[in-house]
Amino acid sequence: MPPTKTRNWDASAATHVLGRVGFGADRERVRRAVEEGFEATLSDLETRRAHSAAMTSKSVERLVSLGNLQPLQARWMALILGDGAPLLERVTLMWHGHFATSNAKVGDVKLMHRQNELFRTKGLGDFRELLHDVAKDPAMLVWLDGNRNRVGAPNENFAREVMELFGLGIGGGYDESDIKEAARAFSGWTVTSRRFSFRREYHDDGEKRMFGRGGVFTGEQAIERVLEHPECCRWIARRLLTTFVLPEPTRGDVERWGEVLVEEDWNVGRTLARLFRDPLFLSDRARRSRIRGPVELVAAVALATRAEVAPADAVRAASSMGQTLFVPPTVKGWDGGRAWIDPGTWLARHNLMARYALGDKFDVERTYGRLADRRAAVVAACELLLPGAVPAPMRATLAAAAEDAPSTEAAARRVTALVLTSPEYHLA
Amino acid sequence: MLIPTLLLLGAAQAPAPDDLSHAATAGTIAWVQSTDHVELLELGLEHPLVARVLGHPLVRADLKKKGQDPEAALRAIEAIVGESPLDLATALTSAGVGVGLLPADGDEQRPYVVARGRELDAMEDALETLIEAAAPFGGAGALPNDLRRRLGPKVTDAWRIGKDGAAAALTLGGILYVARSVDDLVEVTGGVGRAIDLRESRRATGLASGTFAWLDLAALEARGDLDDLRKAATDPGMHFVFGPVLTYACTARSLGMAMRIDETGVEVRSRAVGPDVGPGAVTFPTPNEPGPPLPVRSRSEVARAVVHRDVATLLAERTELFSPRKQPGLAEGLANFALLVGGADAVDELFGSFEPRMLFLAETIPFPKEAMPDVALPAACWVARVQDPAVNGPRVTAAFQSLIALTNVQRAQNGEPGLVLGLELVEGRTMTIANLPPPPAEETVDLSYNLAPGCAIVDDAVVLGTHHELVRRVAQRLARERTAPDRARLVDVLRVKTSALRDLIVDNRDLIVMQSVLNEGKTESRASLEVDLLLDIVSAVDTIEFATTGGPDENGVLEATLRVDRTR
Amino acid sequence: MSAHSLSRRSFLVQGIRLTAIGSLAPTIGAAAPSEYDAGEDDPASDRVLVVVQLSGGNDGLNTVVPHGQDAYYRARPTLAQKSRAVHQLDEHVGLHPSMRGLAELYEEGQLAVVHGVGHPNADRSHFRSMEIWHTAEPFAPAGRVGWLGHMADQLVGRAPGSLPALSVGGGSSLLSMRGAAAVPPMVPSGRGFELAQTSSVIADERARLLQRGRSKPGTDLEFLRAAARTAYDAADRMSAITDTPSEVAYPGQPLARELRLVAQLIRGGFGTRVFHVELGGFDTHASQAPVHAALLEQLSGALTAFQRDLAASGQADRVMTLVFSEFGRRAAENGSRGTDHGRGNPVFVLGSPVRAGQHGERPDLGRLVEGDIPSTTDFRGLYRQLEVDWMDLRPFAKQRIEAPRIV
Repeated sequence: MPPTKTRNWDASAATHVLGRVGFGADRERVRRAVEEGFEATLSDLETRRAHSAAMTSKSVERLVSLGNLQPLQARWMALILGDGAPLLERVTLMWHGHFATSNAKVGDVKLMHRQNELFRTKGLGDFRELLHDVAKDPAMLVWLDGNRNRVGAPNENFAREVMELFGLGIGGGYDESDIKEAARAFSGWTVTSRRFSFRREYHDDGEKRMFGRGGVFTGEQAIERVLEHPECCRWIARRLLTTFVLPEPTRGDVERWGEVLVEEDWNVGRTLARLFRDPLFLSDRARRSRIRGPVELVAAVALATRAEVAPADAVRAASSMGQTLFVPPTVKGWDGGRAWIDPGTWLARHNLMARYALGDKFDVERTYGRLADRRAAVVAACELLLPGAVPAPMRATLAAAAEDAPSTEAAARRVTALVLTSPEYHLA
Repeated sequence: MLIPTLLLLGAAQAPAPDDLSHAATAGTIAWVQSTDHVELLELGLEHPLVARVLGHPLVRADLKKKGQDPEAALRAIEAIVGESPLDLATALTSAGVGVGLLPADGDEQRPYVVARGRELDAMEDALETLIEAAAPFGGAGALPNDLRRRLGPKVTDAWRIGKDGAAAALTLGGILYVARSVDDLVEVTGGVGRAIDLRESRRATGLASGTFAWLDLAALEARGDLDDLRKAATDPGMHFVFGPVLTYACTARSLGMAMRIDETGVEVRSRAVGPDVGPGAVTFPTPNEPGPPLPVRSRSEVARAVVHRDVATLLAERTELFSPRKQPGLAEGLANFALLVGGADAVDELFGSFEPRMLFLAETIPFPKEAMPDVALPAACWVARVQDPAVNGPRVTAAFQSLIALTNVQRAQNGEPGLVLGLELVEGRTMTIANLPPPPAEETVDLSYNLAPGCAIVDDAVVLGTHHELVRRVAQRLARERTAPDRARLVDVLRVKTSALRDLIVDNRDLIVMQSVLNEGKTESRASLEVDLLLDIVSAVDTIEFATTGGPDENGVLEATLRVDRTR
Repeated sequence: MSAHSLSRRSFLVQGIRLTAIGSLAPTIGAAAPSEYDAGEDDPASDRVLVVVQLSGGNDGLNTVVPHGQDAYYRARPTLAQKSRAVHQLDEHVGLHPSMRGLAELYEEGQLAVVHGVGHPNADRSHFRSMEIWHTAEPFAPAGRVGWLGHMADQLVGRAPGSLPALSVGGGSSLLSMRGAAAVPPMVPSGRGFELAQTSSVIADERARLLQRGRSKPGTDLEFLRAAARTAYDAADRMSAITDTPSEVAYPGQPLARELRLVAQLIRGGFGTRVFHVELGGFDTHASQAPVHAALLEQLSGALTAFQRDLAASGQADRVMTLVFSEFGRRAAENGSRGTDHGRGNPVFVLGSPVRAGQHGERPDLGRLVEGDIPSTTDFRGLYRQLEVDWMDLRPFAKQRIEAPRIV
């Protein structure tokens, strides 16, 4: 049943969809979404492929060729802020967190770029294909020492994470011996000249037992065995739910959407399409239930206020709040949720938001249009940034702040700063 | 009015000196004067350069964004003053304007302005207009008599300006002085013509130049403003980068610079007087010091520099020259180098055998199609004469080969392919080259492919370069024909051809645009316009040449010249 | 900003702090048995615990080297440290050659080495092992509260308005520091906390928004509010203290900078009782030797300067420092001149009040368990001493586990 019939399709719902499926939207886009309806808005977010030509051209390869991480981070941020393919970039960010690989160890920007492009090209496709490709991705092989895993001198790093983090989850029905056996299966998988290569002489070609059954010989078979494990589809479904719907899905939610993933033949895009159209997605449980991550926060503010922000600055901003693109803290990625917030990162958020709204990068008229008076500034800021979610006492305080301001422009800045630094705004 | 008659009379009796440097007062510690601005004032916004700058889309966009309009601004001033501000400025400064700085009084800076118009009548009218217009800003009026008397008989008229005690005076010679206080005004009008060093510097740098600047380094040093600069003079690193003349110019008593602009380009000439050439890091070239062999010029030349860098002395006296903190690092570096050339003695011998005058050359080169770097850079090479080439030539070659081997160890540890060494005959001489294996097909070609070093010994010349293609070319040209070093008095000559620079910008235009979009948040169209502007500027210039003379001449003067030639 | 509005702002911040503590007090008060409530005069009431976490799994065998065992040299053909090069503590073990400072502290009786520390149900996952160390719970899935956070919860109850725990430097939020009520801040090393100057124009309203906002307990919104309050409070109080320079010279690396800030905060009476600092990079699966040596040098240099600084400022008697890693590494080196994840590992405890010397069972390479040094001392037994005997607080783990006496 289309959610438009079960719930009001209003600015609040539209903002939810635009900010969950994509990274956010400005006043005009929200207005258009309300007008065009749920389905049109959603399918635009899902299917739009309008990245700026320069940011996807051959020049990107040349940029990467220079060997510095910073342009690569900024280029990805430019794709996010450019809003040319909203769902695609969100999914790319999700897989970067799931298959968290850090350039701190890999130390090769070309490999990081190639992995990023892999998430972009296959991220909405068949998860099984994605997992197979990630397992042979050169950045991943370097990151988890796959390239040093040889018969007689096994290195278990990748085998462990393919179960613990990538495929099954901690406690997902495997034990130490499964890891040791899988590590044998992956032996000989290595990187030569920045490409995956299989070194037969380093491969342990004996039979391996995984999850209580023999018959595994190759690394590919080990991956297949992980994919066949009943926990695998649930683990991936959990990832989709926590990224797109709600931070703490029930066991029932996870099982149900794991089944849908299998029904959809492991196609991530189609599974998400069903998820977005399920009543759960627009339900009260889902609304304003996630603490914004730093990249999400930066993008949401930039898109809502149509900021002319340098992508490199946006990268630095997210980094100071605890999320550095291409440098996740561990192979577990960013924990997300409450782990984003401690007083240190809160101060970083506060300082960035306040400096932005009160500084000259923030253009009041571009964001809100022409404002008649101070009161209009309060209305416009609440409507754009926290539609339908500003309680009366908060509104009164914002109104008082606006009254005290020396001009309408100053009022709009102060109200914006107050909303952006309010705990309420950091839930979305 | 009596004054004009008097003034004319005065002018007839004591002809005003032509150049405004005579108006600088003794005790001036910094001075700038110009006549180049006059054309600008006369043509105003119609001046071709101004019109071009203001008409540029980028400038237009910026002005619009800031809500500024130069034309309207001029009109607004005209409305207050009652006359065009440009005309007034022309009347007052058409024969030159200068700004001087007297030694500061505590925290109080003491600048003064000197100006002269070609027509005395016009000057007086302009002054009258300005004094009337000053009323709303604290006013201006005749200086009270008691103060007026202190200025002496040469001053024909004097005013106080505003509330802060500033004062102005017009002298017998038709020169207008403006100073921060009456005391300063007494000093600047009284001491006229006594800034002897400044005047001498002006004369020597060429009176034809329109803009001239002068610094009393000794006075600035006394104020403690130059500590870093003075220290730099004995720093070996400074010597190595900037050369002997610029390094020792830091110790000069005074520094004068003159700029001449004409249709062919811009020339800046600088003179450092009285450098303290005591013991320090720097050696100047000896009178008969041999220059490096110079290969003939090529169309693909980007830059060439002939410099004097006395590495042997630097190393021989390293324990005195380098700070104790740098000694361990230096020793380690040399020990590593000793491994390459075969022992510590060999290092000293080898460095001692290079003539200090050397050539650096950069040229664009064609890369093989399969290893064309995504960002192709010009190749660079180093050419120097070596004594006893039969012994030292092979030492250099051996060091080069060992260095490649060591690089390969490093690369292997990072899992990167090694450089492949090879030998080749060029004009009967052996050249050692090193190549990266061709990159896999469909793989991007990173910056490291700009590096395919080569080393050749041609007679007594060592040629070492980042790419063997350039080394080969240079070796060939040296073997066939070479030009003699011409201007023997010049020590460091750096010449940059901008055409290759321009090509580099054109080739990497997309990258430059993308970087400025990513780093500065510019729109693509704006970033693109900025590259256009950069290309315009680079295209307008043909060559940039910088040259310094050798050690101080008999008057203790170090000279350097910068020339920018316009494209014709 | 006028003086008037400045003072008004301070008042509001103060007000919030009191409100925040007020809301916590009943929970803490109800749960805290009176025997653990220390009075003002109790010497334990200003004792400090500093925890140094070595992330990635430090190779304990190459940190406290069993130079008396041939089996060590057989297991480590390329990585073994020569007997002559190590700082020998006795004929059995010695500290890695780059740990001169810690060897001196050992001589002076300010360092305890506990051998073979670990836990049952060992796990080779970095994350799981770290979770176990953070939550002192090797069997059940990790909860949301860590052992240091549990201390912070109790300390907030005892000293309202204080910041009981801080983690200095570092980039990620730590489970060990999460309490049920207190949210210990993370402080950038160097200058500490600060609020953007520009935001002073909204300070009053911002405070009012926090004060007036209503949210249900346990919700993310309530969590965000609490975090915001703690943050503004910390920024307000931090600046005054961090200006005083240290008399002792510290090395230039990050860990030393962080420990210097810790020493400043201890000396300046900031009131924090638990500090956490982290040194990462110990996951040395390949080409271990140079990396590990540099890390140990950094560790030893920073800890030594820190201990000397505390002594110079008369604070040494009230500070204990625990140095741990999530697990040790296998006894045998792997095929890439590195070491893989192992089990039992030495723990360091520093400080004037510590029972210096060696404790626990020295590792015996002749008696490995699945190729690992077994864990013979349960870290929870050490935690308990630090919690109860040193800090005079309630222990986090319910089970009473014995371990050699270090306090």
